[in-house]
Amino acid sequence: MTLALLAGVFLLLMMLRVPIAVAIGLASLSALLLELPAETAAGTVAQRLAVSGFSFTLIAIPLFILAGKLMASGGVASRLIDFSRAAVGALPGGLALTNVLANMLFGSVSGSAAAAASGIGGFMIPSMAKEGYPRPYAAALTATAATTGLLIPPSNVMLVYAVVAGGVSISALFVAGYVPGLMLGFGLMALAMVTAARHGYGERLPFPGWRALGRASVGVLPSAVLLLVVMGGIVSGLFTATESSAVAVVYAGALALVVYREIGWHDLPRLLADTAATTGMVFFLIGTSVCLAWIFAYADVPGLIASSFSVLLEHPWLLLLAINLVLLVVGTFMDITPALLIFTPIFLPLAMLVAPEMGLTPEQMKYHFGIVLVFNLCLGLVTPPAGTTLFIAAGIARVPIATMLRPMAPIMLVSIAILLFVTFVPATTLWLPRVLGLLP
Amino acid sequence: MSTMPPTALARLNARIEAALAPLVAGLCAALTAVVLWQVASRLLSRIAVALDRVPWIEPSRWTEELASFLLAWTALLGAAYALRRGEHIGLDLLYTRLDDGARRMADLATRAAVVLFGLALVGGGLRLTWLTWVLDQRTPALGWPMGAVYVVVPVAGLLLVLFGLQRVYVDHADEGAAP
Repeated sequence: MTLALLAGVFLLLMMLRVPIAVAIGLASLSALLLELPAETAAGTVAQRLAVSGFSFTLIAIPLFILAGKLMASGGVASRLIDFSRAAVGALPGGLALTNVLANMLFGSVSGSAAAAASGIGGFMIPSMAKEGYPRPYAAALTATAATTGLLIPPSNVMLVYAVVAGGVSISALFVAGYVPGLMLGFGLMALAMVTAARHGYGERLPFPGWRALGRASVGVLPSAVLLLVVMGGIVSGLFTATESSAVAVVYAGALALVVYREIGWHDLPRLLADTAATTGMVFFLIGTSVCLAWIFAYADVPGLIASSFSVLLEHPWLLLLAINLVLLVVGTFMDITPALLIFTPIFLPLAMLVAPEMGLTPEQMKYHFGIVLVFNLCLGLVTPPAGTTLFIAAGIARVPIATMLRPMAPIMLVSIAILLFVTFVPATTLWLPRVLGLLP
Repeated sequence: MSTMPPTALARLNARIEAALAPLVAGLCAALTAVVLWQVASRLLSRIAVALDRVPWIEPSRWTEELASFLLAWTALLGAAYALRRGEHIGLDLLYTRLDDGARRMADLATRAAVVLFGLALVGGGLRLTWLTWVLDQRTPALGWPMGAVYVVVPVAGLLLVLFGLQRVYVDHADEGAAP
């Protein structure tokens, strides 16, 4: 009964185009009203919203968003693009490769895919269009490439997963994302080369020469230092993720304001207000989703799902495949943050149950499954009809989302193939953190 | 839907927005500063220990707590500010297939939903603030009344009501004009 009401209210509101966070919040409220007096129900929702930020780990989220905005408009993004163009621009599909590589590099210093999509895409989509790439293709490629940054650490959504999963070392989780993130990025680049050759997209750019490549490399040195400070600080244990996000803000701010001087002090209030708006949207989703997850736990949804999936417990590979399929569908409609908050408590216990049959300890499964979950839901950010990076890229390219379906199809197929490979080969996630001694 | 004439509401909301932008920007700046102070105090005290001196700076205990409260304020007021700027994301799968009349109904329902949720936050938030105030719940490290932190919930709820009464999404025509 509770669940039927919850689902009904949620679907009705979503169809009316009610903002997703409000739809989740009102659906939770209506379910709570079945059990509790009105003032207690409203008080519960109010309290969940207020305390959603009471986790020191999640404080890194607004700071990584701010650092991302500083890097996107402060000259870091443009230097990463210059370097990527010098490095891979001369290959077939040069500008498409430049786009993907620049997004990966941006993701290695930033924790937010939205910042990558607007910072890199804002320049790359128009330049690809000028060189004869179809706008819908440029938008589809950018939207997908931007999500590599959520697998390549630092990553805001991994912080969310770490908090829900509980007892997860953030440094090990971050490092576990490197190999899958690089696989996705290089997979997209390989596909882009094939696509460009087949459709004759874009002129071949001349190789600018070793000298120009050298100069562009010098230009990205400050970003390399940022990578060393942020990730080095987290992995060595010198900083927590939250502290390193504050260091990233200062460093990116100093580059933008003092070294590159691409923004002035008068731009700061606007960037800070933008950051607060983005933070508000993310935490509004976190707060309302936590309510929903709490109701799910109360109605024993994890138990119900576990019993309906129990046939699959003897076939761990099928179980993981089924979870992946469910999440791919969920991800097309739901943003990554609520999906992580709602589905981690449902699926993680199942995955940990079958860990021994895959040759993993339940502890290792927490990390492997976390990366699989993030990877899967990243694809949801890109698949129409709804998704954060999808909307940003379509907005920059000024194309309707429906036109992106065709160019998106091969990109999605390759991405899903890589996702399944990562799912079934745990070494892709666990090897690097184990080599670095972050996991047993 | 609104008892106020729309222009008066629009003017009031524009004024609130103008005041809200520097407020959320300031909260965001304060949040960054507090976390930075935590890093600095921890590193400085560690250096002091390494130099075998009495640490002249203790690693701060109150920064984590203050940062959490600043985040709660930034997030809730930021969410209201984002609504004003029409940035919240809704699913337009069905909406784009509706005719004008049906769209107006959907818009009305969307605004009603936001207003309703805002009212729930006002009611629930006031109760939460009042209860924690009466019980004199204090924050562990700073000893501040929890009610002072929670009071942001009814404030944000009220903003959702005021903004939601006027509009939830900004017209695409306006969006094109914005930078």
